Amino acid sequence: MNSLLRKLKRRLVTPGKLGSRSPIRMVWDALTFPFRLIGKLLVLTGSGLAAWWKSRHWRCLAWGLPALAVIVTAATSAMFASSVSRFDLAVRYKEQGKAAMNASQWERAKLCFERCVELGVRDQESLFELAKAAEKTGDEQRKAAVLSRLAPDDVATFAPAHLWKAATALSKSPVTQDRRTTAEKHLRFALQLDPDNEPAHALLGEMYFQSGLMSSAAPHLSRVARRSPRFRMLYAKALLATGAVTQATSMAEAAVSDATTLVTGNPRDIPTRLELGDALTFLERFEQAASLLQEGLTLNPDSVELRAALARVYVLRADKILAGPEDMERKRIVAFQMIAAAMQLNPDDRHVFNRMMDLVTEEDDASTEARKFLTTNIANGRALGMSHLLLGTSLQKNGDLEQAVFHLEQAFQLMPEAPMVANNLAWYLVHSEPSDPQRAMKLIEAVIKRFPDEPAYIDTRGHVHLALKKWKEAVDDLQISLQKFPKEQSVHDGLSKAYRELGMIDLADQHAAIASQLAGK
Amino acid sequence: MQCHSPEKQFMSVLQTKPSSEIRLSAYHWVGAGLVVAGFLPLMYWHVAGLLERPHYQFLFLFPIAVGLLYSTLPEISTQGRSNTAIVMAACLGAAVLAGLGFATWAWSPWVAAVCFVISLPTVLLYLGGWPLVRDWYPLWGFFLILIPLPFGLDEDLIVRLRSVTCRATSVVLDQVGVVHGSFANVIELPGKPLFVADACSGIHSLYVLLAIALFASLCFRRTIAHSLLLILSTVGFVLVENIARIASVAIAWRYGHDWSEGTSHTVLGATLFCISVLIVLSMDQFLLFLLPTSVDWIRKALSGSRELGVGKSAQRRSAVSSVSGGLEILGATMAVLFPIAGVVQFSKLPDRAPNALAVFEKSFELPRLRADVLPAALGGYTQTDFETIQRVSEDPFGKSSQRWTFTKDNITVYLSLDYPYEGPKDLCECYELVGWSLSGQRVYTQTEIAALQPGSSSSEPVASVNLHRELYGDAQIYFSSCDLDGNITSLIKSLVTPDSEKRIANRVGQLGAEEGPGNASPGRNPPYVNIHLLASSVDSLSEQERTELLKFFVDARNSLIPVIASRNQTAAGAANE
Repeated sequence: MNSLLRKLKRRLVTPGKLGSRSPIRMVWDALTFPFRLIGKLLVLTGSGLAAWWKSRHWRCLAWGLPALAVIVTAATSAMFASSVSRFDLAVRYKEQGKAAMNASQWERAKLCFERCVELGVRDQESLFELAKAAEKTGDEQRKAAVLSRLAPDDVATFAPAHLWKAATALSKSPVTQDRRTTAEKHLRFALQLDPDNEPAHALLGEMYFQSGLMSSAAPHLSRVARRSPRFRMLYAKALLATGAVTQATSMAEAAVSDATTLVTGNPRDIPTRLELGDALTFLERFEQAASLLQEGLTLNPDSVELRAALARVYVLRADKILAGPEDMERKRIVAFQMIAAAMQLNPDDRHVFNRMMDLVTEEDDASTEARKFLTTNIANGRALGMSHLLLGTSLQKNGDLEQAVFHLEQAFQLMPEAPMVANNLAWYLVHSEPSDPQRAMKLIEAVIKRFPDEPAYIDTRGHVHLALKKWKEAVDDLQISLQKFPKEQSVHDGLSKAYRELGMIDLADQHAAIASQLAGK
Repeated sequence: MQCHSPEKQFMSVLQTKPSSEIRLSAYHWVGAGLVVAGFLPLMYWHVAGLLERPHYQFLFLFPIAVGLLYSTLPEISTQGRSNTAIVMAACLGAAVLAGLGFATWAWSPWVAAVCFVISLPTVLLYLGGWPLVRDWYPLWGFFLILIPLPFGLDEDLIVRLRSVTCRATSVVLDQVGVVHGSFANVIELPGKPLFVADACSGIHSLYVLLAIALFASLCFRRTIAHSLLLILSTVGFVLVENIARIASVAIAWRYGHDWSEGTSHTVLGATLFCISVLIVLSMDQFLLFLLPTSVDWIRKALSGSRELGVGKSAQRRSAVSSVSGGLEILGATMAVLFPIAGVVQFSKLPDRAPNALAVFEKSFELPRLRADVLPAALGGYTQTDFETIQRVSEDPFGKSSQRWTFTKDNITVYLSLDYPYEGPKDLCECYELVGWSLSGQRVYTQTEIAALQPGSSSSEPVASVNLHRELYGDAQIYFSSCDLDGNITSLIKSLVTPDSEKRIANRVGQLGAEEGPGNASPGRNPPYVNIHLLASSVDSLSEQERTELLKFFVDARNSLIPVIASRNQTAAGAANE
């Protein structure tokens, strides 16, 4: 290289040589210099390569082939990888994720959607599928994190996610007011994004219906009434509550028509049969409803739902009879027969219990028949626990405490898990002489642990607190009870006593006044 | 024709040993021995420290490699000695001596190792001049593998290489259609919880293969360009090997085989390593084919058939040297100074020596505790599970874990003992490796803990970090490490040494201190057990919940540390019996 440069320098810079040339030749030399230089370099490179080629040892290449193969494979792989766009890859993962979801391969589906999201395709659908896969794999934290993005609490984002969040809130037990509010907010967001979203209408309508907001429920239920006889019936009941009797009846008739078709097609379809029974009861076709449900029981003798529904039909029929214009004593005897039948079908039903209690606490032929029925039950070992409970409670109300405690204790031994039994026994224990508030507290605490939102049980605990002289706790419980039973004298009496002990005389006096007013009434 | 296969070259080198005319005296050997003696304590510390780390354990084969290289060397010849060479050797020797003095004062085994490697050519320069240094370069050049990158940069390199491996493996798996998740340093397969690409990614073979590449380059007397290209390509081959290893595990998993642990994993690793060695040797041959063996062909191209001159080295070698006696005395004086440094080093030995044979010892295992070591309910949280977990060696979360699970409402708390670790563990690195973003790193001081838990039996510091991961939610970790005597340390490296620059500054700042970082602290009894709380919630954690969790952690730690210490004593007693 140095010699080449020296030659170039000699030829271009030496004055003698330059001076002897013509100007045209000099210009020519200057213009062609780059080409000549390139030519020289090419010749140089060529001769260098030729020399390199001649000195190669092909055996080395043979030994080096494995390394060369690795290099070529790695380079090819890298080139191929760079030609695949992240988007294409993400789409591929998304498709594989959907396939995995269809095949119930949740782990695989979760991984596919995770990768899809990681590769930058963060569409709401993929995120939603990721949340669903996360739920299936028990990854609640991941599900919540994804849903917080898809269904934030303050802005409508993705209808299916809002719907899911609402459904989750309503599926948790107990459905507290907070959960209802959350569900309502998300359902409204879902409907804001997709006004024709039937599941959202169904959930919102049903939620309003359950809350007693019939006028709010009706518009939503009307959107989904055609979906099933059940929604037709809900809509019919909502219409009835808002005074639209004709429309309600026509809707119930439509429900009966739909359900009859379905039940005829599949006689073992219990849910539809129950809905048909409900519709017939709504239309006060009690005989038809009872016959339908009885037929269902023949086909499905172990169905608890059918038994409960049939018992409910009997209770409603008894109510209807009692409200009728016939002679009271006769009505009570017929009603008793209905309630006795209901009790045989579903002895744990609260409505059955209440109706039977109404019958046994009043002295007439019906009550005598009822007590005889309960005693026969006990003798024959039929509905033992409930019969003891009813007898005990009626005797307690009639002042026969010795007999009452016997029957209540028997009922508790037979049905220790029945909350009503424990509640009534606790009530008895706290009001008997001598009272046993410690045992009462144990009984009622066990019940409230299982049914924390039932005001009747909280009321009992409030009275137990009074007996234990825990005034503050008594006020806390009785205030909850007051919301449900504002016209119950015992609640006002209890609150009056507790407030007085806490030194809040004004409140105590006010509750005492209401209690005496209720007692006089 | 020149022979180029590795075996034949090796043999040809052996057969071309020149014989010297002038032999060294015992005086020269004693001098060299004195120089070496000056390095002994610090070099032992250095080498033993390296051997404690898995990726340097191939150094057990170092003596064999040195022996093989030595067998290819010509005998020591003093023909090249000259006054100039001895003066240069004296200058270098003075620099080495100064470096050794500094290493002794600062107790820096790494600086001592650097000085030791420089001292080898210095001694050769003194004994035989430049020709001897050149002839013996394969030997002293190979000692370079004793010098790791300083200030933990080699660990940084591993972390980065691991990350690259992970990303590249993901690309390969995408190409072959294996469904997987990939984030940070994790490859996740369907049904396979987390496949952490650390020890099982074969990253440790990097250092072994680099050593083999260096050995081959030196043994076969390759050119500098050839050697550098071979070493660089070895890094690439290691990457390919690791990708192949993880991809094989993933593909095998798809077909129902678990090659991520056990014998199959070992066989896979060994097979791929052997293939990699062969590929490196193959690459050496390919480079031999590709690269000119000398610059002759360039010269030929430039100057046609000009006759090449005889090597200057040969001319130099033929010159008869004459060395003045004064310089010999200077060399002898310097040689005598080295052992003094060695004696000073013996007087400064730290309490705990690194264990060079740690690899042959059974790894530390805490006796299995029981679920009731922690109460069924603690701080309002209810214990729901207890399990023991075994992972691969050097998993960042520890080879073994014993873990209790507590729950309260939507919060799940995992409290675990992870072990063994050589020193206090910073969990921030681990969580970053698996894709979490960190924030709010802090270490609660003793005063803060004491204020939080008045009357508590122990109020040692607690490290705390908030975690967030997109589409995963928030979490919180608290952790502390304790040694087997129950001494607690809570370390977040980023608060102490945020990056390599600051690490260097820190290290330099600590020079001359009684104990340098990386050495055992006085009164500590490793290995360490990390106590680690991870709390995750479906919802975000409130400040109140975080404070409750901190109290929970302190309570749990206070319950566990006496158990760890007592269990360790029991285990030690049993071992002694």
